[in-house]
Amino acid sequence: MKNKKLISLATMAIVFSLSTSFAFALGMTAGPVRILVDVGSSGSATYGLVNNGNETITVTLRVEGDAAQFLEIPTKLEIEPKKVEYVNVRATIPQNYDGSLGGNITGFIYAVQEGTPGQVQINVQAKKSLQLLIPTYGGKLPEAASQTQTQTQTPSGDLMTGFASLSAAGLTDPLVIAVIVVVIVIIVVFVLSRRFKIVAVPKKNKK
Amino acid sequence: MKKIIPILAIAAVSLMLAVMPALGETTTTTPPIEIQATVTVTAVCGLSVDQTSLTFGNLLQGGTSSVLTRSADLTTNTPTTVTIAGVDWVGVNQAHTMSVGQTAYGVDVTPGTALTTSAATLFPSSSVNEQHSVGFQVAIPNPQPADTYSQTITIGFTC
Repeated sequence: MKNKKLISLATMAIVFSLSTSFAFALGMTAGPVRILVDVGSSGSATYGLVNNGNETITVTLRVEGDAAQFLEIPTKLEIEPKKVEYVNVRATIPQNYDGSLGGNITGFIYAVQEGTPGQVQINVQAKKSLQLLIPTYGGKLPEAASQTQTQTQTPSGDLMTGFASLSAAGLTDPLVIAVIVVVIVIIVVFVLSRRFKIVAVPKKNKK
Repeated sequence: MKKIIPILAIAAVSLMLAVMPALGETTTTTPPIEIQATVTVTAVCGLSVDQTSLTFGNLLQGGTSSVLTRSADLTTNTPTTVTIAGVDWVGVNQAHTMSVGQTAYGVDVTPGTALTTSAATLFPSSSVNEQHSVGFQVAIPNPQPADTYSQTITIGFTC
């Protein structure tokens, strides 16, 4: 759940940064939806639909292709302005699936934002490809591919302070530093003794 | 004055003893701290059309409409394909129809490509933001029954 929120935030950040020059009403996260699910079980996956317009939009969803018979998706989704809604795609492969469609069953999910009714209505449609991967019949997930940027940072000299900066300046000998400290202390004590007239009283001879 | 010297000496030595351990620590060479940062850039694509309807008005049979243009903005950071498809024109009297191909479209040029029911590429695949003007025009066959016709055009994208 936490990851989902993080992904949502990251996605919105990317979307907003991309939309500085263009604003689009309907968008989606890229890449196919893949669900690894075996015979007699269920699995699910999500993908994001984005509304970067200024009004709430309603999209209708439908599935086409061989995978459609195994899928459950919401048929309608409202997306508020500047929001990402994740479409939950749930697949169930029945126990009696005979492998006739193989281990990699494909399909498409269409999300349609309907245009204004008129002589010609222009709809905008996001098409998402989908794969159901059934291990029993050879279906398997491909190795994940991601776009990452790695950056290594080291603190700069400007950030070093105190003794660390002294060391960086070449004063690495402890004896040198000790001498400097002693000299400073002597000067301070001397000045203070003069200022407050501190005088050591000599011991009297007991004679 | 001579009596101050022992005091100064004691003070100096005491301070040295107090400070030396710290000096010892600070003179040890500390390896640079490496902070590894990783960020995954989410691939997102989207499409907008500035107006989502077309009104060609009243036309005579055999006539051709003026060109209506709409702005289509593709916003993406990943390879994205944009397609266009349509359906046949249907009258209020649903027995009256016109072929989908009576509508022509063109990207940044005068409409010259007949619309089809199967999705045709509207823009070449792109990984960067693009803005195009899409022109539409309809030609009415002759003869064509009088009616008010309507059509749906779908501009699709996939990434």
